[in-house]
Amino acid sequence: MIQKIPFRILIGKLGLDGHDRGALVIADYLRNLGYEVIFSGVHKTAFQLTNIALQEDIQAIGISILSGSHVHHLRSLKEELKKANSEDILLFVGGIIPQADHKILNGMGISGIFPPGTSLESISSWLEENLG
Amino acid sequence: MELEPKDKGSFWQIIFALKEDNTEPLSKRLGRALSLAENSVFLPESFSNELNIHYNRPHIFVLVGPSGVGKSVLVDRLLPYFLNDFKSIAILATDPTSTVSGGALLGDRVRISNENIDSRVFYRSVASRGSNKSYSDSIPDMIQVLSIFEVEVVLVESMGVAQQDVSSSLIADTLVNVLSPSAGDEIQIYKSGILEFGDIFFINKVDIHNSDSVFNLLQMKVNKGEGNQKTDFPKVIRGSATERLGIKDLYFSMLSHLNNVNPLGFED
Repeated sequence: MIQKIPFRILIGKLGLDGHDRGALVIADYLRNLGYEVIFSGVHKTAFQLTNIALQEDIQAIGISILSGSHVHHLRSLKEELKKANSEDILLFVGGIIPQADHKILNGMGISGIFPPGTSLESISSWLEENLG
Repeated sequence: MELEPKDKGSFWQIIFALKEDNTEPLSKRLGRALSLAENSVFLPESFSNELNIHYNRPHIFVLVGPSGVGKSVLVDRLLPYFLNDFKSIAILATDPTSTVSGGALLGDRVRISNENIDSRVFYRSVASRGSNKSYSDSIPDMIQVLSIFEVEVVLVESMGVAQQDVSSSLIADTLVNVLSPSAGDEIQIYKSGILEFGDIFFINKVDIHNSDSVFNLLQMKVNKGEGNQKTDFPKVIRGSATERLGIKDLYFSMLSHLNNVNPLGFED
């Protein structure tokens, strides 16, 4: 029997934001769809999260954030991924992200933005589309 | 780094190429190499014996015990000691793959404190992917990859095991059997299964439960030989990972067992 190799996804938390319920809901949902989901735990720096992504050889990082500092943290994460020559890793983000910031994040190359009210299905179909 | 091995020969060539490729960060290369070992569906069984002539195999510690007994936290508590004595350590932390979805939530990493995220610690979460052992079937090949990358010590954290699963003893140089003092009465200790294996028994959570009866029974049960044949192992230690009790004792017992098994030490 040849098994399909599952995609590996890192669900991460950056900075001082210690709320992990949303991250765990997403992690559980993706696991039930057949993904191998690694949860980073809370309070990681962009550098640490990048190192985790490399060690775990993941294909996508989902950031859950509600602290309001999403632009700052995602910019640092982008920079760290670039330094590690790993810009091919797909990024998506969920949490309290005001409409006005969507453009900024889009400009950084982040298209998967999932604000409050997002259905779980829209996250998984976005992933399916973008993971190829 | 889009590399697809087609057969055994090219598999190891690719692993060696990844090791030598200094244009990419080490953790990326090793991460990718481990995925190749993990994903190599074309190999019916492990080919781990082939390269042992050229490379020192790292010492393999395996932590085994039931789900929730504290293995992941113990790994975190042991890390500072290992970093003090060794140049590099890899942790392979296994969690189960869902037989329903084929997915897995790999959550052992959550227990690792931020101060232990160090460039000398390579931490990899491994899903069981249908293995009926307490670790993934690809673990032996992943260990071989770690040897090629010259990792000094490997800590395998097995999945939470049931009592009849003794598979961890097959890959361990040093088997650490982690127990909770609350896991039943003395009859449980006398039963066959995983409790028949272990170089070191660590009774965890002594801050929550009285561990005297389990400790005394295990002490009585482990056979350390007689007279000249008497050995220090198996050793019974008790402590608490969360409260950082008994960790030093555990570490130095692991180290002493390593020196027993591998008295010449590692080549520099």
